[in-house]
Amino acid sequence: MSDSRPEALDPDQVVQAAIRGESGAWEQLVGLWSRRVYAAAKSRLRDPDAAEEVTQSVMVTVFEHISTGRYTHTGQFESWLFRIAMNRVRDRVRRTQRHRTHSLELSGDPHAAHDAGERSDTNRTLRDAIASLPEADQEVLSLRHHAQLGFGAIAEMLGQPLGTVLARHHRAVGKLRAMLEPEHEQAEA
Amino acid sequence: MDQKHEVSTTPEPDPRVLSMLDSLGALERAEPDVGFEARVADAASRAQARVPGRRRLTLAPALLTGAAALIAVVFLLLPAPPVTPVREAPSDLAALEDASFGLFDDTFGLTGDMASADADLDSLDPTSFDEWLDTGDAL
Repeated sequence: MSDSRPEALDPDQVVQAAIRGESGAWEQLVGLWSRRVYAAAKSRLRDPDAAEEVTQSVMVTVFEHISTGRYTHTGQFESWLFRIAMNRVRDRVRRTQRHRTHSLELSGDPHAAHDAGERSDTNRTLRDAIASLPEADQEVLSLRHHAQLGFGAIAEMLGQPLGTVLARHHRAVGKLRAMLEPEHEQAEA
Repeated sequence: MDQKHEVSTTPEPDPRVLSMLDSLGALERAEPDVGFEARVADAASRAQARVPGRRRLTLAPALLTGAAALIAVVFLLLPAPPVTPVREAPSDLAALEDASFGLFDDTFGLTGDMASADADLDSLDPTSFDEWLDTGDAL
């Protein structure tokens, strides 16, 4: 799994420094987590602008909680951060779905929901396949592969047993495989 | 954050699909431009600028309540002015008594008139109306 995070920074120490209000700690915190939040949001929303808005909104909330002492660090920062992120994403998805339903009713264009920024056919196919999964499956995949959360953190975040999360991930990947198999066969042929 | 270890202990139905998902995730994380972090940090800085304002708003009701309580305490502690009872002269009292008796008398008189009017109605002869009609016809 490729990782754009700066390896030199210890996430826990960065959070502690941000809580103490140390200079530069907030920038480090943004550097560590903002792209992961963005990726998780983008995977669900498929809209770069919306994903950036969600990321900003999440980081502002995190900052407000940290700077006003409303966040108590118990070593579960990542779960807390992505819980906020997923709530924002869910809200946004619901709003977008309402809007899209309305737009599709007006335009009748079945491809209107496609992300204009999708250049690669393979990625588009994969994104379409992910988007056709149930919301809970999409969340697990997005948290695991886009946000790079560990299964333990995902289980903690979703309030589900680890086994349930692992099984859900397993099933979701299986469904993707079934959907993508014809694509693979065509590519190999 | 020890994800590599976790990956090795989880069921992996299809390494190819997992690899595709990881690649897509990496692509999404790399997608924002170089100014992305600065924009996110800037949004948080703008939020920081709003935080003291919020505190002032939160403090405003408390300050108002405190000021009101202080004013109330000051008024309670101030010596109250002596109350001087209004004393009426004996002649004034007599005049007031006469006036109130007059009012009572007037009211009682009106009530008496109404009672006598009712009594007059009771004593009317029911045939007198027929007589009055006959008189009208004759005219």
